[in-house]
Amino acid sequence: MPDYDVIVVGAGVNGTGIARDLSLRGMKVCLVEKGDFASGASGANTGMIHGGLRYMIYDIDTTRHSCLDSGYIQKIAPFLLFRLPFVMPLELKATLPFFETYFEVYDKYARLKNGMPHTMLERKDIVQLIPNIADHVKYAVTTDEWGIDPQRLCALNGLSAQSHGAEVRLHTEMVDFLKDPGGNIIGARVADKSGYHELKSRMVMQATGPWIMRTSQKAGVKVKIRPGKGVHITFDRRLLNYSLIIAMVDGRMGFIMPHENATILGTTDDDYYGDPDDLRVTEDEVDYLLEGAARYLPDIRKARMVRAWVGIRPTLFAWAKNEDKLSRDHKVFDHELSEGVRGIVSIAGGKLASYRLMSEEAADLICKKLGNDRPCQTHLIPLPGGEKEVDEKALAQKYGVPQYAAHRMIYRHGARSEQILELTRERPELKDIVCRCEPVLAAELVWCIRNELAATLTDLRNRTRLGTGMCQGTRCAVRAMAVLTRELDMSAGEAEDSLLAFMEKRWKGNRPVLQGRTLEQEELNQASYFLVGNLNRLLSEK
Amino acid sequence: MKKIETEVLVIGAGLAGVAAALSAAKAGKKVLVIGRESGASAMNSGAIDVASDPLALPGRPQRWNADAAKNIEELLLRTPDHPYGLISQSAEKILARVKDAVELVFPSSEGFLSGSEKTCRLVFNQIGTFKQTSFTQTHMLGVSEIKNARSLLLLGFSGLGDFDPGFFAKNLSHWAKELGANAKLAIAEIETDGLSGKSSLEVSRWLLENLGPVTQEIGKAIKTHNPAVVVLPAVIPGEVRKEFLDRLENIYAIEAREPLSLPPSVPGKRLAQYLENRLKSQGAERLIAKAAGFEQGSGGIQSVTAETAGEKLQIFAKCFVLASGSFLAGGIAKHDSFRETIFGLDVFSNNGVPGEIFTEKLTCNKVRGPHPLFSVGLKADRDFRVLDRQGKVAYQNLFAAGAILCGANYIFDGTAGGTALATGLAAGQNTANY
Repeated sequence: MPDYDVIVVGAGVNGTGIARDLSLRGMKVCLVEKGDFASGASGANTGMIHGGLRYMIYDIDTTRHSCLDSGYIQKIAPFLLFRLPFVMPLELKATLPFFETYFEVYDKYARLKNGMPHTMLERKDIVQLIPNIADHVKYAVTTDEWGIDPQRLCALNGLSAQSHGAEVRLHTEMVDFLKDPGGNIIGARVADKSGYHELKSRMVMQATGPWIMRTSQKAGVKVKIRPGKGVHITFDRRLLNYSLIIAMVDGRMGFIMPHENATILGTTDDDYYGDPDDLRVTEDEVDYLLEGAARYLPDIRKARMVRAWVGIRPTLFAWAKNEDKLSRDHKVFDHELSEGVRGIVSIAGGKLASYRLMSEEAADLICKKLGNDRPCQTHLIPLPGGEKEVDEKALAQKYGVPQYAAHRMIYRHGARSEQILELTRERPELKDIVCRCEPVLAAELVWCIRNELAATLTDLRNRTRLGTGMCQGTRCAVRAMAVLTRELDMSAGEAEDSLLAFMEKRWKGNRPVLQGRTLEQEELNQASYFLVGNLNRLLSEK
Repeated sequence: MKKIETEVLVIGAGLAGVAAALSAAKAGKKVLVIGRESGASAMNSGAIDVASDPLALPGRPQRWNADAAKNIEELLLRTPDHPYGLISQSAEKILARVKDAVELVFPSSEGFLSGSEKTCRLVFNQIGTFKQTSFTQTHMLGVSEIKNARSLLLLGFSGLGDFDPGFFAKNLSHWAKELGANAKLAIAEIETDGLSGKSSLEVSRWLLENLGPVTQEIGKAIKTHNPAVVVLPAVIPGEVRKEFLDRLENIYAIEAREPLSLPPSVPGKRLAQYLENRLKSQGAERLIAKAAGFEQGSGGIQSVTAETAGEKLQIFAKCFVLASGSFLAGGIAKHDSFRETIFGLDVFSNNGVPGEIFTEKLTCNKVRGPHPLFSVGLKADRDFRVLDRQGKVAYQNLFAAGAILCGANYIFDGTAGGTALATGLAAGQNTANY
């Protein structure tokens, strides 16, 4: 007897989306993830539910899907999306009519996602919006997109699946597939802290993103992708309030955009054949991004880079195309049909904006195979927190917390914020702001540990943006660790381990951008935890 | 621009700057110290490291070597460019220099520090982990203090966000057991009316106003638990600390101890305040001013321009000591390339001149380092004169001391205090001979 109908491998946006979809249709699902929610590509993208403007010429389907689904996501998680007006500089006056027409077409799709129609701007309008824009920008066109916190999106999908009966096993690695004598897949062998386990299922869904070629090899099926490395830089504060579409030195499209209280610059797109578990940003990539951005915002070279981060796009394979010309479309692989291997389905490609639709397509196929004819409901049922709107001022007053903290909490948790703050009734000390950069209340940490499967300091960072600000955890890491240790009754060794793992993760991001204040901060951070805390000497290297 | 004249100008008011200023003043020089109001010393944990075990095996504190002379020998073998090597190649001689400097800056009559330059001891911090160090401010919690204590009482302060007694206790108990100390630990919380989520510094300021009632609360807790050692978070303000701790110890016949602090650090503030007082009492002048540029003359540096609140100064001196620290204190900066911030001096790393070297090459993939990046600094000769990239003396009358010197990596080698004090002392003495 199988333990589950479906094991979904990978808790990125596709894995969590599919797990949610299947659970809502009454399937018994187990979601297995070796790290945390969104620890691969899903957590390392620009965080845009954009309509695929640039795909319109050669990939109009992606544009339409993206726009349509962006509208659905707004319905199920209104608190998690924020409007992102875009300014796209135009170099030549002669090209204005072309762009006018181009955006007229796009406006039709943009309507599907409640986007405002485009406007054409001249220099005098542009400097009103972005005062520090470079002199050569004389014309621009605006369009309207939506931003999102992709970490939250994945976590909420996973948690929604859980609340509809799915078993979510984070920090559990799928090490191999279980097969019948005919080579068909009948489950998965997984490893977690407690050891190895065999899980039997009627179907296994591979949503392993950039790891998909590795996992497919184990399954004996074929999925080919063109993994593409994408690097972003985060700057302290908002350098602008509108997103700027820029051209990189090689003519590729890039973005400089405000996100929460920071600015994001991205991205690179390079074929990547290395180890997806060992990703590093090089200074060369940082310089490439700065070079492109400085042409539009010369000041950006003086701005404070806080960190650089990287992910691998699991783009569908195509021969003889440059990276940025690859289709962002997705594919659901029916291995029974293509290779005669039963019990396994895979998904690859696609983009964040159309995750829900891709999940629906994959879930449809699985349901068909398993004889379930219930329809998809993921566009109708709100994600956790999306049930109703919250009045932030009233909430802040009711519980006696600063409104700016309530504002940020509502952005992350929507209607659940009230339940989170309810924790402070019994324990008023949970109103303490643990992370002052972001800001994050102790109550939110407790909530995420109890209700959102956060088990390490890095999980807490993913759920709440703890330690993401300019101090990069210098102040808050140990305070949050104390909360975590108490909640989970961790041993001293586990606590110190988790703290060091968090520092390792922060270091990966800080290392390529160490200069100016960020370098000073890093000296303080390492002096705190190594010179005084001595963590590097107390914990033996594993 | 206002013009000022002095004999020795020291830039930087941290440990190195103060050691240099005091040794020059002792030799009869007229000394002026400029620098920020609080530099990296104000973030000091309460410990002054001279020589931790460079071979310390991670996870095996029982086997860390406590003999400072041995540690320095190992250190110089592995990092021949360490500034200790400029003082001498003999560990004994280096330690003698450290001892002189400690006696100059922290004379035992002041009762500010306790410890020894010869032997490392293990001291706890506010996380509940511990490190090897040589000196600490008095009353800091060492492993030895809890080894034989019958019972400990840990006091928390409600509303102090920087110190979590439960977390501290868990770590402390774990490590105490590993190290063979089996003291019983009780926790009590001192009520601080109306405080919530405050930093150590905020609670420290609050304490200054509320010391009376807090002392009573602490007394009650001690009577209830009857401990041998009381552990308090490091929040007692410097102004009242000695008197307060002495009173506790005398009235209740206990030992009162504090763990080392992470920034923002009250022990750091106490150290900065102590150094200011020490400068004043020894006749060195002090101005809070930021050095911004310099003028060159025939004999080397002629003057340094500095900015105070609302005023520009031109400071003429015969001799200059640069003790402006590393990145955190602002002595060295990196923006695209590395540079020394006042004189534009050549900056070195172990691999050479790092102007064109990416930080990527100066860092390891894993954070637990040590990263050569934090060893970047100035090169100096045996007289602590700054050298340029040809190996020549940059300016005849410019000396450097402390964390701005290249070769040391204080985060990982545990020599920050000793290096600052000993090189400061030497640079100060050399200005006197100049």
